[in-house]
Amino acid sequence: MSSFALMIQGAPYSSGAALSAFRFCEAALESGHQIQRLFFFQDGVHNASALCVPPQDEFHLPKAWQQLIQQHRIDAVVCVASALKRGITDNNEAVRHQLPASNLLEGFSIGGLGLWMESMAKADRVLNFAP
Amino acid sequence: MTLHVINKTDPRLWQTLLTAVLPTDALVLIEDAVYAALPAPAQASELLAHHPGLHVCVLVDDLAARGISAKIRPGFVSVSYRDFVALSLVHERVVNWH
Repeated sequence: MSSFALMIQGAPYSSGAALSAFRFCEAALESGHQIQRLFFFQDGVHNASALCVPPQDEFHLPKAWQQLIQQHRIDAVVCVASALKRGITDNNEAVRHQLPASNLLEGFSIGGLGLWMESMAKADRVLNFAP
Repeated sequence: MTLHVINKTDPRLWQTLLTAVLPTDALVLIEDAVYAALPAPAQASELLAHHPGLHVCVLVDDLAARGISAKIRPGFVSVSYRDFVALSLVHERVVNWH
């Protein structure tokens, strides 16, 4: 069993990056490997929005990520700086910045780029899915 | 031994890739880069002129999504996401070009 760290830099539905990362993640788990961490960076933070409503006949990528993350207990980190400037926030940050609401999907957590540095050192392989 | 993953056909990106690829490396074409697997585009021809034996794989899902599964050049190998995962482990590192 090997471990993977995946960085996701693309928003859902904007480019193929996020879907490619999702499919890779699924295939790695199906092959018996471990996902050391998912790190959502730049526009990739939109994958963690609880407010996405794609048409019913389209793949719901944020929800699919959430199911995969919860089912396999994957550490899914959303970059705090990338998230806040794009309007993605958890409860703590919403209170800190006096925002009217929070919208981070359950299963994801907010964290800093230091966690990605740690992933690059710890995981067997690192892949970066960007637009 | 590096696995290069490329996701577009941008000529300048391919030009840079060309200078970085070593004969023992392999290449995976994903997303819109699968169009470079068609016989006509210059990107792959130039790459193969520099590295004739280079192992080039093309993601089958992305080929199918674009309706070109049956049209890839001889010598290029269609791979699944599981194959992609396995390839990334066979190689020492993965470099994503975007």
